[in-house]
Amino acid sequence: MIDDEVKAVVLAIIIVAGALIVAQLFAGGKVVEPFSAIGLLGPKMKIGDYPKSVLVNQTINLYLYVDNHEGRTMYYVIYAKLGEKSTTISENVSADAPILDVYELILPHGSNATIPVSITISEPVTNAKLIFEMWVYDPKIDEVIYHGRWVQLWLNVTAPQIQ
Amino acid sequence: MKKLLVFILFWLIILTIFNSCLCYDDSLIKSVRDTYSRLVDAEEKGADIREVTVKLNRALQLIREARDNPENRGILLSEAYALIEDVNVNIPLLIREGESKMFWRNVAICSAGVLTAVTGVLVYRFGPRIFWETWLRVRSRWIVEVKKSRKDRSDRHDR
Repeated sequence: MIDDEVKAVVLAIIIVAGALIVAQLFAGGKVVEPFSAIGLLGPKMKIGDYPKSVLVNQTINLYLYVDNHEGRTMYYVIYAKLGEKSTTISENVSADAPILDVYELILPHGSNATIPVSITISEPVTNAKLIFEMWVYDPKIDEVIYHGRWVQLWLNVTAPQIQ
Repeated sequence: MKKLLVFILFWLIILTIFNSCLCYDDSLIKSVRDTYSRLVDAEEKGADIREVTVKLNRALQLIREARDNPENRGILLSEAYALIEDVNVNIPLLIREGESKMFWRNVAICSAGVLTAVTGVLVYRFGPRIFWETWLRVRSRWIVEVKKSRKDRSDRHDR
C-alpha cells in the first residue's frame, strides 16, 4: 500500500526527532563554556568616572561587579591589592603586592552581584595600580586559589598640601 | 613582685580575649566555607541551594560588617552564626528534595526515550495503514469526472 522507502523516511524522521528531544533532556542546563567575570565600576555604579588622583587616606569609593557562569555555585574571594607600575599580573600569576582588603561572596550559577568597595591608601604613590584579583575557594583542597581574572585602576596617590 | 605578676596576668587575660575575638572571626569564615562545601555536595545531588546561598552570603556580609563596626561586633557575629547554623540544619532536607528531583528527572528522560522508540515502532507498523484508511475515508465520497480539455476538443474539430 505504501512504499518501503516512505516508511523508512518516516521512521528516520521520528528517530532523529526523538534523539534531539532526549539529547536536550540530558544536556539541558549544562554549561558548555564556564566562566566568571569581574568588573570595576566607578563611584556612580557605572563604567567611567574613575578617580585618577586621590589624596593619602582619602576614601576611594568604587563598585565591584562579579558574574558567575561556571555552571555551579561559586565562593569568590576578591583581593584588593596595591601594586606599583612594575607590578606584573597575568592569568596564571597573581600580583605580588600588599593586600588592602578582602571581599568574600557566594554566587549561584547565572547570578551576579555588585558590591561596594571603600579603600584608603596610607602613603603617596605615583602610578599605583589598584588591583582587584578574583580568587575562588576550592572545597576539594580546602584552599583559596587564583582564578586568573583581575581588574586594575591606575592611580596617583598624593600627600595633602600643608599650607 | 606580686604587682608584676598581677600585671602580667592582667595582660595575658586581655590578650587572650582579644585573640579569641579575632579567632572567632576566622572560625566563622571557616564555618561558612565548610557549609559552602556541604552546599556544593548538595548541589551535585540536585538540591536547589539558591535560597540558602543568600543566607550564607548575608552571613559573610555580617562578618565583614563586624570587622568595620567593633561596637556591634558581638551582635553581628552572633547573627552571622545563627544564619550559618540555619543553613547547616536545612542541608539534609535540601539533599533529600534534590535526590527526589533527580530521580524524577531520570524517570522523565528514560520515559522520553522509551516513548520515542515505541512511537517509532507504532508509526512504522500501523502508520501507513492508518494514513491510507483515513485518506480513503475522507475522499471516499468524491466523484471523479473525466473532462476533456479545450485543446483536445479543438483537435478533434480540426480533424
